[in-house]
Formats: sequence, C-alpha cells, structure tokens
Amino acid sequence: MSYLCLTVRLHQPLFHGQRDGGEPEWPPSPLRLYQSLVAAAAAQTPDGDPMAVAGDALQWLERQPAPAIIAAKSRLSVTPYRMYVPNNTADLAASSWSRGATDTITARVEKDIRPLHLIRPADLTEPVLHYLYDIGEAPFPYLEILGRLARSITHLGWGIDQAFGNATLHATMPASQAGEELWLPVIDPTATQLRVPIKGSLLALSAKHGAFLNRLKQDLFHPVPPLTAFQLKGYRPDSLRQAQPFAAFQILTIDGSRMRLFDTTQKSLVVAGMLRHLAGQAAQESRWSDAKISSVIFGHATLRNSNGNQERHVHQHNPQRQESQDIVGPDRLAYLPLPSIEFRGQGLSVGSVRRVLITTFGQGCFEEVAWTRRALNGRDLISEHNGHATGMMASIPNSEKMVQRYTNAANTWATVTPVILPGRDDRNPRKAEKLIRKALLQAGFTEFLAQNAELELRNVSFWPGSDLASHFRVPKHLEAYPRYHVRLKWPALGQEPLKLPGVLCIGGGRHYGLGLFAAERVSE
Amino acid sequence: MSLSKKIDEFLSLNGPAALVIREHLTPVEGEDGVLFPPTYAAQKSGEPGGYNIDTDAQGQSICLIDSVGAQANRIEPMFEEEPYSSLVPQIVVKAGEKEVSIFEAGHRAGDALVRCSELQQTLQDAFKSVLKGDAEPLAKIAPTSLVFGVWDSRDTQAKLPRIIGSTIRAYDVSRLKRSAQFNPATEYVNEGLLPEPADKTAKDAFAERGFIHVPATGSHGGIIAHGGIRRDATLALTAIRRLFAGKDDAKTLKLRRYILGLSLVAFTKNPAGDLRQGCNLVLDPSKPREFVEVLPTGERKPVTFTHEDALAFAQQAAHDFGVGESRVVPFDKQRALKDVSPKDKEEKKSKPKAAKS
Repeated sequence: MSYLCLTVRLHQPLFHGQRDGGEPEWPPSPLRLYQSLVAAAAAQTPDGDPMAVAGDALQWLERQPAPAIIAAKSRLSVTPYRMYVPNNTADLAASSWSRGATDTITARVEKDIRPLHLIRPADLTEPVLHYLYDIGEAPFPYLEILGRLARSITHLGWGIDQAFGNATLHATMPASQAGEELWLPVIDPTATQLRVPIKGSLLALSAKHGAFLNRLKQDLFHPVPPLTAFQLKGYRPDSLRQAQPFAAFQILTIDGSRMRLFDTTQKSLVVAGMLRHLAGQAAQESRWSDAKISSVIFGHATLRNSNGNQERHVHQHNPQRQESQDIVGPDRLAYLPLPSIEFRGQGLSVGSVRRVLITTFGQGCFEEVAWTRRALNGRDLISEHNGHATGMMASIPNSEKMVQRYTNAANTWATVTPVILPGRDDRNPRKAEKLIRKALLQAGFTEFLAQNAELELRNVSFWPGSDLASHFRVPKHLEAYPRYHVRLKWPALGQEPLKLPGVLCIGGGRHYGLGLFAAERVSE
Repeated sequence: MSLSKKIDEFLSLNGPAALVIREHLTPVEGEDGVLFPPTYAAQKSGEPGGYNIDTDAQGQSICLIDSVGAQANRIEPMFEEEPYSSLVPQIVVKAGEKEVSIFEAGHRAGDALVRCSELQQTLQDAFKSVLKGDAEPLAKIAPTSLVFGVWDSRDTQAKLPRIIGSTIRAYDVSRLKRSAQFNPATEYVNEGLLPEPADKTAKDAFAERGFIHVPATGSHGGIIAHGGIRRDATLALTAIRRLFAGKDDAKTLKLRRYILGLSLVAFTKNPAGDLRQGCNLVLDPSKPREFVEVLPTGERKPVTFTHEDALAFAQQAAHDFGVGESRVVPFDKQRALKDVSPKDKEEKKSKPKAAKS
C-alpha cells in the first residue's frame, strides 16, 4: 500500500481560515487544499484553465476518499481583535472628493481577527500539514503534476496565511511528529465536520469562478451561487477515541412489574449469551444474510477453501481454524451486561446486572447497533436451560444515569468485571501490565494512550461489592489466562487530565462484557 | 553563490519556495526598554480593546507590534524615494492642492482614488489582461501592486496574492499601565473665572477644553519584551512564478525578473525604525539576522546576498523590462460622481458580503 502525501507548510505559526459561521477551521479542510491546487493549476497557464493543465489529476483527486490529515496542534487565540480595513467603495470617498473634501480618503470596515496559533515542529521551522491519500499498489501517474501544483501554492486560508507545498509518495503512512496530530475521517456527526471534494467539484469550482468574475456584467449584479459540489466529512484526532454508538436496555420481569436481577459474578456471561441469541433471532426475522448474522451477530470467523471461496463459518476459537484463515474483525456486535453501581452506606458499590448495552468496538456496524435498539425492544430473553422466557428487554435512553456511568467521558476508570489478559504473565507484574497495554491497543486505543495510561492491577476489585477477579465465570477457552481487576487513568494532555468516553472494555471476552470498566467520576 | 547566479534558481519551477528573513530588533531605549504596540478595538462592544497580547500554541505571551498590512504600508512608499524611485513608474493623483501617490492608496491599483482619474481605463485594461494571463500591462503602471498583492474588488475582480509578507512581534511580554493627571493653568472655577458646572455634561465640556483637573488612570503604558522582538518576513517565490506575460516566454522571464528585483529590494530593506510614538526599533547587534531560502521539502539553506546586491539586480532587471511612464493625473470629479451614481448604490445594496480569502 502506498500513500500520496500532499504537504503544505505555513510560513507563520498562525492560521486565519474559517468555516461556516465564522468559526476557526482546523485542520484546513481537504476542499480548501483542493481549491488551492485548482487555483495553482489555473495560474500555470495564461488561459487560466485548470482543466487544460491538470484536469486528469484534479479529477482523480476529487474522486478519492477523504484523506487522513497530519496537522500541527493548534490553540485558539485568546485575544481576538478588530481591524479597520479601508473599504474600497467609492461612494463615500469619491463623493467627498467631488465636493472638494480631499481629506477624506476612504471609508473603513471592521474586520474581526481571531487566528489559531500553531505549534512549530521541533526544529522550529514552519508548521506542517500532510494530507494522506491511500493510493494502493498500482503505479501512480499524477505525482509530477500534483507536485507541480502543490509547489505553486501561495497561501492557504486568508491571504495573509502564506504557504508553500509539495507532493511525495510514501510506502507506509507517515507518522505524526511531536506537536502534530493525526486526524482521521470517521462516521460520527459529532466529530469536526470538514469539507471534502467529490466528483464534480472541479467543474463546479470553475463554474463558480466564472460566475464570480462576471458578477458585475453589463451594469447589473449577478449573484454568485454558492459551491455545493462537496460533502461534509467528520474528522477526529487519533488521540481522542471516538465515542462508540450503543443501544441501552433494561431487563424487566416478564410481567413488566419490576427490574430483573442477575448475579454479576456468575450470570453475566449467561445474560450476554441470551442477548446474542436474541439478536440472532431478530436478525433472521429481518432477513439478514447468514454470513452477516454469522460475523456481525455471532462474531464467527469465515473458513475459506483453497480457491479462496467462502466455505463455512466457525467459532473463531474453533481448533479447526488456522492462522491463514480469515478471522472476524472488530466489526461485530458486543453484548455487555451492566452491573448497577449504587449508593450503599458510605459510598458506591457494585450490585447485580439489571441493564445491558449492545455496542461495537469497530467502525463498520454503527447501523446494526441502531437496528438492535428497534429490533430487540420488547422481546423476551430466553433461558438457555429451559427455553422459557426469563426477562423482557425494554429500551432506555442513552442519558440514563446508570448508562452514563459506562459511556460518558471520564479520566479514571475501574473494572466491574475482570480483564482477561491476552497472554501469560508468568505471575510477573511487569508482564501483566504490558499485556494490559497490549489489550488497550487491541481494543483500538492509540499507542500514545496505551503506553501512557496509568495502570493498577490486582485480584481484589477497586469497587466495593464486586467479587475477586478469580471468582468470575469466564468461557472455557479463556479459563487458562490470567485475569485482573484494573484501575486505569488516562494521561494528561497539556495541563488538563484527558477524559475519554466509554464504552471501555478490553481483553479476552470483551464482546460479552468481560474487562468492562465503569467511570469512578462521571462527567456531565 | 552570488545573487545573479541565484536568480535563475529562484525562478525555476523546482526552485526554492520562499526566502525568509528573521531579524531581531530592540527598542532604542535598550533591551528592557518600554515600547508601545498598536492598540486595537475590542471585537465585541463592552470588551476591553488595547494591545494585541495573545498566547501562542506553546503558552508564551506574544504581542503584535506591526501587522502584515502595516508593514506593507511602511515598505511600499520606499519606492517614492531615491534610489528606488527609478525602479517603478511614479503615479500621482492630484486633487486641488493635494497629491496622493499610488503607493499610499489603500488598495493600490484597485483603489477608488485611482479609478476616479484618467487612468481608470488603463488600469481596467491592465486588470483584464491579468485575468487573461498577462501581468505585463499592470507591471508597467503599478508594479508594486504585484509585489504587495492587489484585488480589483470593485471592477474586474482580478486578484493577485502578496509576494512579500512581514510582521513584527514581541515575545514573553509584560504589560504596563500608566496614570496621569492634567492640571489646568489656573483654577478657573475657584477663581471665579468660570461658573461651577451645573451638571455632568457641563463638567465634561469643561474637562474637554482643559478648564478643570482631569485624572487619567490605568491607561496603556506599553510593554516590556523579555523574550525579544523579531521581524519575520517572507518572500514567496512561488507567487512570482505564477506571473505570465501572455504566452511570450522571453517577456515572461523579463517580467518575473523585474518583479523579483522589486521584491528583493523591498524584502531586504529593514522597515523597522520609528513605527509610532514610543516604538522606535533598531536591529539587535547581538543577534545576527537569519536569512534562508526554503525548499519545497522544508529544507532551509542560508542566503548571503545584501540589500545592495538586490538593488543592483533590480536596476538591471528594470532596465531590461522597461519601467513604465511616470504620470501625474488629475482627480476626475465626473468619474467620481459616476462612481457614486444610484446604480452603483443599488448594486451595493444587493451585493453579498465578500468572501474572506
């Protein structure tokens, strides 16, 4: 896999560009970069036609998926100020002059300025932006022309944001340096929304430029229609984990008169199993394909024959599965029984399971999570022992207080069910801690977070009322692995303690609620 | 390497992206002297305005001493004076006894002042040529508009980016306050020379005219820059490489060399000095100037040529290009009245706010 890296360096550690509504925009959107490349292409020729110079390359670029962006870290100015800019309207100045009042030069308009301050790299050169496009393995024919365009960029943002660019190819994705952040496109409407070019952006930009130049034709004003050929894409810094989507339920007794209780230590796994079975039934009724049910609902791996064709699905811990065969990725549902955390006596204490969450630890089945909220509401949980209904699912809002204990942003977390380590620790605390960090990486946290989180491990729970880690019932294939209760504190980012949203669940068996953390103090 | 040998490299498509100068400055009073930055209005009513002291990304306080626009306004008029005046045409608009150089017009070649003169058609044609990829006519009448950027916002919409950007900032600053007391020459009221002011309005009027004591407390008292003062200037070679004289390569080269010459002269001349009352800055002799060329890869290489080298090159390039004719043109009342005709006002009313570039 190769990456096209379009780099822009700003001469000053400041950026003035704004998004809709006058809000500061950082990182500068891929569309902003694209527009500057189109302007550079237009400036490459006396005819001013970007299509003639770089039509193919620019049309290729507009069709690419949203790029990853490495951007200098920024800080919004704390001292906005107002400048008075000479307004180039002749009506006030010229009328004064025509009356002989030559002291009046011109009228002035207000211009409010609130830049973003950018961190310079360690060598104190220009702050950097890298736009990274995954171009696969095929030969890439547009490097030269895109490089020429990038090297012709004069500014990015306002006219005072002087910049220069370059284009390079990389065999692997370049890493962010100190003072920089990796921004990734994500499916999340709450993430920073940036404009991204789409097929047709180039033609639309050319048309808008033409309309702008001709807006004052024949003594009439012709309004310039806004650019619409773009899409908004959510971006989030890699250091901040995306809040996972989830569907929350409470379990009621069959007659709906009260909440149904399950013992946390011994019955959590049973609840998760019943939930998974219920989701499978609902998916079949919704006519999902067998393959999708197998991977998304049950988390089964796919066995392929020697021709590479799909053969059958097996449990991913099935001994028949070999390393060369596909294993299921993170795009599957996780079924998490939630022990209640209640005030008892002097403080908080862990109680029985009364609620469940269905979530995913990947990025690929957000819609399926939303589907479970609709599909499982009001259904009966069926006992695996006797096949009788043992409880009823009732959807509850995400804002429910007990749910927030597991999902809101927090700095310090402690397990309510033990973390099963992804390997043997040989009773060595250092090895155990290393394995916890490995489990964090496996759960999708960044290297920075995994390596810098403060950890405490022990057999005794950090929550009153919770059982020893060794007492918890775990699946057979995980019984041999060490397990610990863990307290985790995210590292500070700047002067502020870093607070990340849940659901935080790591280690073996995390898709059925083992290694589940609850926040020690919940952010509102 | 001498400047003449560097020129071709500067103008080559794969040449350096920019030249960058960092000059360390100091108040004439000394390193710890108090200097007075410009004051700005607050962004919202009710909030205090004042100096623009901000916190940069590393948490260090930083004060704006001279903005990009202010620096450009200080540098550009140098082309009215010898020996630089011979490098560019001197265009002056005369209205009665008043004469305004194009170097002082806020919007340069796109300014309403110039539009209301007999140069209107010439400039409009020049801007239209820019839109068609020929900047030579504009370079013949207003070359500094190419150096410092221009936008013909009221007519052709031709827009050219600035080639030179320069800013002065002070680092790690302490803000000072000062108080003062105005004492009138005599006690006008006590001496019975004036009546006792009846109300606040009357008292304010007396204060305004200097008849009573007026205290002033807590006003701006300047700053002390503990982390030094620095001018950062950039010459964007990429912007020069975007200039064309139509499809004629030879003419394009002469045009680019001419504009590069003017840019280098303006870029290497130190515009610091007496910026305003209480802000007289000179070069700090203890810290050498940093002068580098920056490659597209971000790599930096030292540059050694001097302002005198730049001037010599600019004179040769101007000679080769052919400096446009200097002119003094009268302000044209009729054009001004036409410019303010109702049609224009209607258009203004319906015009949406210009997008920020």
